[in-house]
Amino acid sequence: MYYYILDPHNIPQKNFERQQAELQSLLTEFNVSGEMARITPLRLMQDLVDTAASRGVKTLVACGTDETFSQMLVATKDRDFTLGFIPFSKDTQLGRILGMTDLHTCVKTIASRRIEKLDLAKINDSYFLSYLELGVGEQTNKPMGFMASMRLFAGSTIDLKMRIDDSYNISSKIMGALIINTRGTEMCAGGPIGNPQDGNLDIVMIEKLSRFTAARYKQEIESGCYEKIPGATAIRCQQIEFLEPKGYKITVDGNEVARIPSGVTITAQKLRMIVGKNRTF
Amino acid sequence: MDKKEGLQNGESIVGPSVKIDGDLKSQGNLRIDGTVTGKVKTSQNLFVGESAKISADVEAENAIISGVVQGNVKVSGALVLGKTGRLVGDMSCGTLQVEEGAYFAGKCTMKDANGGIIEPIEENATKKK
Repeated sequence: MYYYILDPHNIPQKNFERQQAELQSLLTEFNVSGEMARITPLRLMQDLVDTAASRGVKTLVACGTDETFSQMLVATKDRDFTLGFIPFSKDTQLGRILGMTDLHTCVKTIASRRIEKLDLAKINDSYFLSYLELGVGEQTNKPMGFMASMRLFAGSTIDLKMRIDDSYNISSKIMGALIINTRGTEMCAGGPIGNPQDGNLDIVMIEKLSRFTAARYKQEIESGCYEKIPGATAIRCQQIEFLEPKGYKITVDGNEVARIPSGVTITAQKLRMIVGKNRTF
Repeated sequence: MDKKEGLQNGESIVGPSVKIDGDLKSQGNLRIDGTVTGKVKTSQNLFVGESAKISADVEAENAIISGVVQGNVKVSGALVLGKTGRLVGDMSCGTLQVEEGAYFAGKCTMKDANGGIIEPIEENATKKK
């Protein structure tokens, strides 16, 4: 049985109501209807997931934004669920990664139940399937105008210090970094970096670039394909401990998830996830 | 394994501004352009770029050294010391290529096709006397 958890948070109400109605009709059409529950101030994600578990539900589907799915990951608390995601907003990071961008495709995918086991990364108490961002990494997959990007790339650098796999320390002056479980860009797809089924995290970092180089590699910077930029660093690991600069924020899709110092780990193939045909890994 | 291939296929790349302190281990191809102190070990190919400064013992299957390495280098396959390469330390390898302009100070041990170490001819001749 499917249990759909709908989250109206961060979605305009009119838009939410319309998508909910459309979803109900598509679920009936594809014969994957199940129980639907909506997050309210009195019924939080945790309550709804607990209810689903007590009813013996095996498949949970988060309907909303990336944040909805992150909340679901936290709420499942290592219980054995297959998870799905239906984006209610146009440009979600997870939607791009899983190849589920519009309602029709999502419902069709859920009906076909293509399930993949994916690695699940964790920073402090937050789980993530995609990537962590530092510095200009925060602008990944958010196209900018030329002048705005040039101003950003000319900004200050971060003196980053990390301990990797409890084996060695890295220190570098960087402009931006991504800690990738997987990334949703077709441009970088197919490479060894960002495979969510290899049990590894990939760190990609870029140092301060000249204006000319930044302009030349603007597309690579915006899509997070840092390894294609000369002088970039790419390191594969399983455990990261951010040491410095203390208090610097780490984000997922622009939302702060932790501050330095903090630790990141990955558990291989922990998550059973319904994925689309157009997934980017 | 040339520079371009190293960049494109290198699963791990240490950029020029990066400093690493400790035991750097990799399962895939490794390219180093930064500074490393400690140990470097990869089960595949290692490319040490011109800007690299390594103060560590190095182990790899194949290696191209175009930067500075201070430490012992152990390579089971081919070792290339490029024209800008500087190696201060002992090296052991399967095959060796030293380009003109390279600097090397240390002992070199190579294995013959059967995997054994060939004894110096002079030493045998002295024993007979």
